[in-house]
Amino acid sequence: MKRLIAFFWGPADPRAYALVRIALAVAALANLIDLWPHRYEYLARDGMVSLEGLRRATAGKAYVSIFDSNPSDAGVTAIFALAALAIVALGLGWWTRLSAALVFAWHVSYCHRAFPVLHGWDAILRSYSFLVLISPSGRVWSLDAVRRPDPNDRADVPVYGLRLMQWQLFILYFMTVWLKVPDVFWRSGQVLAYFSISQYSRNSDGLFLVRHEWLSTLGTYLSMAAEASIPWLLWSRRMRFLGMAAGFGLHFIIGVTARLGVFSICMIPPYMAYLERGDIDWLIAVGRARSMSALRARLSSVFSETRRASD
Amino acid sequence: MTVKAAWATPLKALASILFLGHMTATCVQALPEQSAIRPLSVPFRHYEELVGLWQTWDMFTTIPYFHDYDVDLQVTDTDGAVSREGILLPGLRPFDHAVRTETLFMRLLYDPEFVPYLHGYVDEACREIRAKRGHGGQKIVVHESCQRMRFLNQIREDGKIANPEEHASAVFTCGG
Repeated sequence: MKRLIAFFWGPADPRAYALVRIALAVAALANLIDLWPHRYEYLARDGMVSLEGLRRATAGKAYVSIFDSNPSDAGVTAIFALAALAIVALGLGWWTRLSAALVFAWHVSYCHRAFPVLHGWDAILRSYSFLVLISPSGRVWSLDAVRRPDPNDRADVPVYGLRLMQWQLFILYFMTVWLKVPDVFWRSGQVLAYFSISQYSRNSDGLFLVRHEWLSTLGTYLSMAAEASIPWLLWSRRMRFLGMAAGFGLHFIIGVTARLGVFSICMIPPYMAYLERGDIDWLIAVGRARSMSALRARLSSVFSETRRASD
Repeated sequence: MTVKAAWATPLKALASILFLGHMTATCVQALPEQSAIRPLSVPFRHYEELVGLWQTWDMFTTIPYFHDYDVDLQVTDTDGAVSREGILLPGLRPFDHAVRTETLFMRLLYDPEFVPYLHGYVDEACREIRAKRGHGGQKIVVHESCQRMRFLNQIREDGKIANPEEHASAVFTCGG
């Protein structure tokens, strides 16, 4: 039991929580902006997702939503505006706990009301909103800390919230590999070629990967290898930046080639939960580098660490 | 030791057990329906529904099948005249190729779990058609025009990416 308590209640850098909070707010805002043009279609009383149909489909399930009040178009717009305000407040760290509760309520509400239009990134936003809500608030880097400074703002906080967030990302990647491995197209390496000409591609008439199938095969296998290894790399302190580079690279490529930019943005907050004090100090040092030589020195320090770890 | 300090360890232990429960819930939701240990997920069901723990990305588990996708409503009026209406509500506006909307109709038309939503959609579409035309009794069909992708070797042979396909839902009758 002592080990279990130490695992969940050991010390953590509050800046890691602050980074998750800020990244989550950016992702949630991007998602809200993406939903905005479709708000009446998915969430209003005369939209495409009927409240009666929802009640029949979810009978007996734990579904609650502010949209169950069947708001008018103006009501839906008002809820969106309030949600946007709460998301911005969360990112700024203004009334952090209250805004975290409102952001979670927003995600639960639209996810329950518009269940048939959801994708994987909605679940990421909802689960991480919940984890941010129950985690130490990370008053560092917040308006709350500016308004009411407290010497304890920079003190260590319990690590349990970060542990739960790390676990969520681990399961997320494990599940995606679990589901993809049996698929014949993932195994043959043809996924990228087909995806590049599908309705989800930004350039679905381009035949480059079809004509150069070996590139599709290489890319398909590399993306599978990245997804299988990212959780393990992130857990290793010395390999962490390699894991981050692989993850951000993977999601950046998805974001620029597929019509799924919001998905890529929503994948950023979970990575922040893996950052430790040394990582954050290093990132700040990189950010403060005033010359190219200083920046090169900071960057090379992480690669030399990674190299040492692999030797 | 103060009372507060005395309670700290048991409370942390209790919270740790709850955290373990959360982590377990994150795992068991992923068990296949056919698995013998799937019943382990039952106690966590409502918790999962609330928190949104499921992380199954069905969009990427295999290839997409369509190069292009369009959907509209085919309306047969009481006098037999056939016309087309946009699929988007409110307003019976044309399909805008939004990824979420496309997902909505793929689920409504092909996943039995979403049948109540399909009936709800049809009720709302009929209400709009009645309001627009001043009467009911029309028969409506959700009509998909797809471009189904061909195999890679076939595409390389002639450069043609996809073959056209038409799909129609069941016929629904709008009340008077």
